[in-house]
Amino acid sequence: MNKKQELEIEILSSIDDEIIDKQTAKRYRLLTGKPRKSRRAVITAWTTAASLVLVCSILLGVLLPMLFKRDNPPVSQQVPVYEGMTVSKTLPSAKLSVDLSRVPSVLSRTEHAVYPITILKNDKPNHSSNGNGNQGVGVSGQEAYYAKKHEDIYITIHINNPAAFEILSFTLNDFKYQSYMFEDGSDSENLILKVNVGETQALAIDYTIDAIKYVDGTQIKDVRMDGDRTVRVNIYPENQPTVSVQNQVVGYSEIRFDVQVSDPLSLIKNSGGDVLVSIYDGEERIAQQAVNVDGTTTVTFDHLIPGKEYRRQIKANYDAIDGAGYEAHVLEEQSFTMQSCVAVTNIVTQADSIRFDLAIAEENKVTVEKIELLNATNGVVKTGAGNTRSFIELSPNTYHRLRVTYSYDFGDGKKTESTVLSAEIVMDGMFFIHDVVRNGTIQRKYSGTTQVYNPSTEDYRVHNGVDIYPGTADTGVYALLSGVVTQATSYGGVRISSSNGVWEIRYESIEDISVSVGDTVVAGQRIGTVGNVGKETVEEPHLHLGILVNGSFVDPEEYLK
Amino acid sequence: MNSQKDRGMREILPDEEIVSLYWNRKERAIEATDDKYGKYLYTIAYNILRDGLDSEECLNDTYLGTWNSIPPNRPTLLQVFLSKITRNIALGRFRKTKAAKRIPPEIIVSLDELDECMCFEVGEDEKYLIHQISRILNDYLRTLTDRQTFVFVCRYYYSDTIESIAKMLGLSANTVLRDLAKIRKGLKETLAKEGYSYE
Repeated sequence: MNKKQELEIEILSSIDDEIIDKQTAKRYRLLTGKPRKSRRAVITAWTTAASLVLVCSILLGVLLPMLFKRDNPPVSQQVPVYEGMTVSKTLPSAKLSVDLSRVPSVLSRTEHAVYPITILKNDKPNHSSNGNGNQGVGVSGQEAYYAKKHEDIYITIHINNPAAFEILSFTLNDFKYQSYMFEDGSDSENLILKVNVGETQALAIDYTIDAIKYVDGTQIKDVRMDGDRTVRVNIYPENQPTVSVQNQVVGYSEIRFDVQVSDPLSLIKNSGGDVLVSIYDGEERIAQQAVNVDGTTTVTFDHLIPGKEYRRQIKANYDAIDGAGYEAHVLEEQSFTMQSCVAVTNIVTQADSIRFDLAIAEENKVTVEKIELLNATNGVVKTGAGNTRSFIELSPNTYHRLRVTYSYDFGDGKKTESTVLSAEIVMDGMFFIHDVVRNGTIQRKYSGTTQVYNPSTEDYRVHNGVDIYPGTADTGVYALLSGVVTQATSYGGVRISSSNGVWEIRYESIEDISVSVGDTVVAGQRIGTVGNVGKETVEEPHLHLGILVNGSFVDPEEYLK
Repeated sequence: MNSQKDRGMREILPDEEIVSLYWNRKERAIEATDDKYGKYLYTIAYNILRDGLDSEECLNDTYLGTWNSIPPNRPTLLQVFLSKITRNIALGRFRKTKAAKRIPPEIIVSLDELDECMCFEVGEDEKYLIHQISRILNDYLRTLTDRQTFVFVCRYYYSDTIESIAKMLGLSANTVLRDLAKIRKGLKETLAKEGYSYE
């Protein structure tokens, strides 16, 4: 040891006690404790242990099944087993779901694709013949497949084929189908075949499968047949039940008609169903009667309200063999309206009045309660008693209806109330020129606010009326509407205002005035003769007619015919 | 000293009781010390002396030195206390031994390793040199991880062999060698920053 090394020893001996003490204690622990395994040794030990566990697990997984299931052949030796067929209307896919409660247990395994139509059980439905020799469809209570004529259906053959042997072919209804004929989506356990129902008069078609072949190495073998070999597809019958309604008589309170039911395939009869005729008032069924399934039934419903609209519905309950089962089918539905006992007739309108008559049937049962004059929005303008036959003081150029309310006595102590509406009544100011001046013609028109030349005054002024010249020897002037005379002068003429204050008719250039102020005049009353009085003196005798509505001049030609 | 057979027959006393025996001047204290720490202290001596007889004598000198130190000392970590005594005695005996060894003792091997990083020249004020280098070394050791510090102390303080250190830590010898090389490199750089380098 050289000098430097001695110094190094001194230096090392001068390491702080804190450091030396800590490491010395650790050194003592490690030297006197259990020897630490190297990390490599630890990893090796764990790896070895894990390997042993893995090997044991594998052995157990292989040996145990062999010990307890010695009778199970290896997957590679399992013979494919046919389990059954299903039918669908669309190409099956794994995403379609089915109500498994309707599927026989043999096909309820989830590894098979599932389809929306259930399988017919092996029991065949009973077939019965009616008197015409046609095949009927037995009511077996079995679920079945349904299809229409000429419809494409997909038949899926289900095979349990865990070894995934290639399926070569199968025979269906004595026709051999090779694997290239299978539809897309087919696999080693689900063979899909597309079949067209075709034209058939049969009520059902049976599809029977046989001789399913598969390839095992170099050999062609038969699939073991375990499931139902036949699947039945019922053909939807086109001859569904129908009804016809004949000899219908709609009265005031009674409707009567004949119902004839046609059920060529006895679907209603075989279903044990019935045919019902119902009368609806809106959505409320108010009456119902059953009719014969065979033949014709005369149906009568009474105590209906005269003039009211009803709806008739004829419904039958049966199995239409469409897959929906026993349910109600509406065979006929029609609305009808009962005759009204009261009709508004002979409506006569004048400028401000309406006159009418009522035609009443079954007068001994009908009592007119009231008559209402309605406006365009069916608001009541005027109300009259049951014996009212006119309404006066009406406004022209308006629309009205008459609503007659009457009661109807069924005769058994029961009564009903009914209403009838008249046709639309147009009050369009039905003034006739002839009414004011016989065969009168208008020579000068209304100018509104435009000033026109006045030959009498030789100036331009507004002509706020029409000049009517007589066409006959009768030069009388007659009142257009009823009212009160407010003016009666030879110069100014006669002014008559309607009692409702709406109308004022001015009759100017009138002579031989026969009314006085305050007189009540009725329409058509002669009030004077055509003259040349006043401002119109230059011209031939004529009547200057002015009409004010609510105080304003209007063009009389809008109200004159 | 007691043979292994003898050691195996007596109860190993806790440190507090052993120290109490020393304090009560019971000779039983020596036996108890030997029973508990004899093998351990032997390794410390052998690491330095590389001789069985010398190491045994070193051990005896250790017990004597301990008997003379307790009291007045009352060490709480007896094995640390004993380790230092044994090491110092072994180093002293090593210095006196002039005989060449065919196989150099581990302390020389370890010091040879340390030479590459202990870059200082002998001739300076030795006390000052020792003080400065010691300060630098202590500061440096505090920057090391616990495992690195342990490896350094075992190798250069206790002169444990690489294999012994590897066995204690459950590591490979190569790992220990890499640790030591890294430590020495760091020490060399630290000393260089303080001006102690050969350049």
